[in-house]
Amino acid sequence: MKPRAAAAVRAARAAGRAGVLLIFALPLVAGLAFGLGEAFDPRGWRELLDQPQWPTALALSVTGALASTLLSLALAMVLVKALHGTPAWTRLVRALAPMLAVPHAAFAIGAAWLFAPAGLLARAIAPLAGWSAPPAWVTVNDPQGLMLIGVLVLKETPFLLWNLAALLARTDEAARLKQALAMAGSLGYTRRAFWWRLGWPLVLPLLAWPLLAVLAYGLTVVDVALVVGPNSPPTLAVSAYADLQDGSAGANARGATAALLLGLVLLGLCGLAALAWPLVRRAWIAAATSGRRPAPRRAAAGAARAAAVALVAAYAVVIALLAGLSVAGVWTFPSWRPQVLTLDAWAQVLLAGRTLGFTAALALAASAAGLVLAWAWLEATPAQWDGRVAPFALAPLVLPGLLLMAGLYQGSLHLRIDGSVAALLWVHVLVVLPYSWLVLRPAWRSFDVRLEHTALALGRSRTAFWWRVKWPLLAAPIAAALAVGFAVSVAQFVATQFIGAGRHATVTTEAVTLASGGQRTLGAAFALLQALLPLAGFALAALAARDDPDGRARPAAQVTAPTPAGPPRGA
Amino acid sequence: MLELRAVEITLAGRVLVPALDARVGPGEVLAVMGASGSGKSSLLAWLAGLLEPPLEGRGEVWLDGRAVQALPVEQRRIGLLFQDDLLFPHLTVLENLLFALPAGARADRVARAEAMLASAELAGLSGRRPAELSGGQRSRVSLLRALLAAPRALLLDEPFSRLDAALRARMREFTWTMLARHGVPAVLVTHDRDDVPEGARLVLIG
Repeated sequence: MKPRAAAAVRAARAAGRAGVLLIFALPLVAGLAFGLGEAFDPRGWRELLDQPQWPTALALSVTGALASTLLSLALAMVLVKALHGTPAWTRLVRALAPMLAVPHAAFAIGAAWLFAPAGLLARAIAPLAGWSAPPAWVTVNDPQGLMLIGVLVLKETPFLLWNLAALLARTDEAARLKQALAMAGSLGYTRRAFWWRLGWPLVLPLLAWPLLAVLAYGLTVVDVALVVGPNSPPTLAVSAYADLQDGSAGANARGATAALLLGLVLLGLCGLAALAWPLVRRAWIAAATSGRRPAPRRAAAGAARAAAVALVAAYAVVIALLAGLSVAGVWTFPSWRPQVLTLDAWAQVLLAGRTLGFTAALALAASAAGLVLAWAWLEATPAQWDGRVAPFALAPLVLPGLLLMAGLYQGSLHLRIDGSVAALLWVHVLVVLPYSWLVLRPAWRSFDVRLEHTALALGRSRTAFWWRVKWPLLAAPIAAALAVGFAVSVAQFVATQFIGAGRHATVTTEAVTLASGGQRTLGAAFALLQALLPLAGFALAALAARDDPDGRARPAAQVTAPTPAGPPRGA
Repeated sequence: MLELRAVEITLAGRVLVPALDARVGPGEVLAVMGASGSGKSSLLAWLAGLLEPPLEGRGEVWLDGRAVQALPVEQRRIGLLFQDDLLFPHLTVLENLLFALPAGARADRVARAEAMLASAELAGLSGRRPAELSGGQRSRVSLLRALLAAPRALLLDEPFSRLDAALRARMREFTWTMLARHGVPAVLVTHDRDDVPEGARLVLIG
């Protein structure tokens, strides 16, 4: 390469690094600065502490987050322990991608109708129980938040399983575990005993980021809590969301303070976990080296297989239920099918075609921008930088979304861009970017650099190499990054409501608003659309992966490349 | 006593290891040599109960008068030593040894593990992590761990191949001495003729 051209490439890379770092870091810093600035207002604390409901609301948030995180982790651990290394594990991993593509809100809307007193489950039991009217149960919106916990467990378990599958499929980890399993077997330990004694202490520390993401999500989730969570009082996140949407400055300050309080609680829980882990680990190892070798328990494996089937079935039932509900007219209890079918809801959806178009266009633009920025980062920086950028890249996944979005909203007000499509797109890109980076990174970093050297040695330009060699070879991860980014954007609720300033409706905001307002048929139609849009994206990505130029068709589950933080999550 | 009766390893119907019969007494070694891909390691994997399709094994394995080929790996009581020591990295030396020992009073178990370490000139290393040991120390701890589980036979899959020449000679001597002392029959797979101890029965395959 000529010296001038080499200098130009170096300068472009330096500019690219600085630019991408700014794109990663600047909005986060600005968002947090604005959010924290408002939250530290003493008036906000006074307003919050004057509210008699805040301790209950906080307790609901904390117990819900902790319970959903621990139960999801326990279920994922049981499933891995019983199924990993068996054909059932392969089948379960294949089912994870479509399960994860279902947005939280859509799942919550379907689950609400499944478990409601007049829901499908009660109708299934009614003939046996002799019910002619819905039982007097409080399932959905129960004051203890149990339904919220249940829905979060069903949504977060596949997320943790996905991360575990990615971890266990890593060449180094898979080989290490296989050898350790063989060694433990030769020392007289069953597979189950191996996992409890050796496997989990090795694997759990590697699951810290995804667990943090699950905990942060559970603590600050708004859309799911609006649909199935408690409402008298609601969780602190919902209460903060309502305050931040309020027109009065006092309520705004209270909302920002509540969001900060949730952030501080998250920080405190992380600190506690970090302090407790060495003690837990020590106790764990003492138990692991006791020398006891439990006998195999076939019943446990059977129960785990049943749990896996139930988990997958829950998603299939919820989607089917949304479809059924969206065309239900008159549907009296305890009939298990509607007496009258109607397309009224879909007619209204068609009338709101602009909402669907806007959602898809916004998601396409955000995923494309996220892809370009992630690509720019990976091209401009050496692999050693990945560790340094990880905190910025992963921050939007683990920071309390409410606090960040409230801050970004304040920032957009200062810049007078609130409610504009550009600002909305910018925030969606900010949320999408970490996922694009995480999905692209493994494939980009493991790309054989000698192919580039060969192309350049053959006299071809870098551009020709990218177009003709690198991008075609990386078509599958590129398609996966687009699909994941698309799904993440579609699922955004809080970001769209705040930065869009209520001026831009998407299928997600419509679905959540309608469902939490009790309009079940139209809400179900929008929720189904909300689920189908990402599924369509993943299906297209799977097609792209099938046309992989290296000639190997990949299963759908591999289309969303395994990443440390995993696939899309709503916000 | 370890006894192999008409043991055969196949890959998709192709015979890799033809019918093998052997008796290995306490402290004795059966050495198996052959080219790469000849099925040596697969033979050990089958004996241990770890062989995976498309490889298949047939025949019988008898240990102290009991056929074990139908038992799962954890019930065979056949120890394993690989090229890598495979010490569990998050456990100390002592914890690795305790993991192998049968259940019992902790003080007794710790005393047994410490005595075993002392017998191998490793006293004082019990609190260290595997990463803090030299290659030779790790190999010795790995062997001690296998022996503490009281195996009825030990399978060694090229256990010296990662060691340098001087260390390899010392480790060979240490291994054969310990096996003889504990009276454990062993099957050794190796590429290196020098690994085979004097008096061992040698089988060439492939």
